[in-house]
Amino acid sequence: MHDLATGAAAKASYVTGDLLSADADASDAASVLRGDTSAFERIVRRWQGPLVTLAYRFCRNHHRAEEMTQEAFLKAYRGLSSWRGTTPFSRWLLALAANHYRSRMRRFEPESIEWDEGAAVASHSSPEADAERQEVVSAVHRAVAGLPPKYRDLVILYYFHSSDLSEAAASLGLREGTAKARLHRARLLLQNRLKKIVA
Amino acid sequence: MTEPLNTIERILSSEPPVEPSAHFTLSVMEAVRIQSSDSAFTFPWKRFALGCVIAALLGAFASLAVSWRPFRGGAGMALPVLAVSLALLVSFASVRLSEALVTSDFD
Repeated sequence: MHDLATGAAAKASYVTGDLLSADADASDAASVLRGDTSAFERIVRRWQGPLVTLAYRFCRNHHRAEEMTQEAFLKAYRGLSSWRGTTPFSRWLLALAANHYRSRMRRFEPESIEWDEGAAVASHSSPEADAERQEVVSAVHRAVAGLPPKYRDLVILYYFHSSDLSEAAASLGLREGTAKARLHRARLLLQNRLKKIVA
Repeated sequence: MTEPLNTIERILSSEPPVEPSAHFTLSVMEAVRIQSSDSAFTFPWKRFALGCVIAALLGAFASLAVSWRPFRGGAGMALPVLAVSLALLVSFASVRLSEALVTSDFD
């Protein structure tokens, strides 16, 4: 089994969020709709971290991730009136961003994306061990990027949502059962592609 | 068999968040302000062009149907059947197109 304890501890509540943040989002969205553009800045400040992180996991390039995130924010600004208060603002925004990132990724040639070198991994016993681990981490990310889009998108969103399948499915507009089957298939593909590297 | 999967899971679930650069918020807000002062509601040229093309095609078909001999010569049920089929096809295509426009980019 994978490290469930770590996953649970690190569970980010982007979607369920805390109630204060949800209230703030709703109130700022209402202000923007009344014509107060500056209220949108508070939304940007609250959500730029998660949105850039998600974009980065799609494209693996910091500069491009910021570019894609800026476009997603603009799209959210333009489409804010389409947000229905019945769903959390966070879910609406993340689904919009995910949809935009997927659409942008379809337009990129995979070769045209220059990957950033991954962040240095936590120090292990020796520089050799660190280098080896860095190589494995990089191989895993490349394998995810090389999956067919329908699997890649789900894997990215599943781990972005801290292994919350229902939220990942909601971001992609999928039924949970479909997402579960797709995730299972994606894991098999990853396992097969990486069995020589991740032994 | 599960060891590689454990490693993959561990790597993917422990990836740290990415911090935006210092000027990111300013850059987004500048773009938002330009957009809101510019024209939030720009004319949808793409959709307008698409509509023109569809209208031209339908017009061409209608004029062909009027002037073409088999239709003029009383082809019985052929013309109504064709017209109904075409109407259904256009309705279906317009529904799919609307769905695609709603779910895809508005740029």
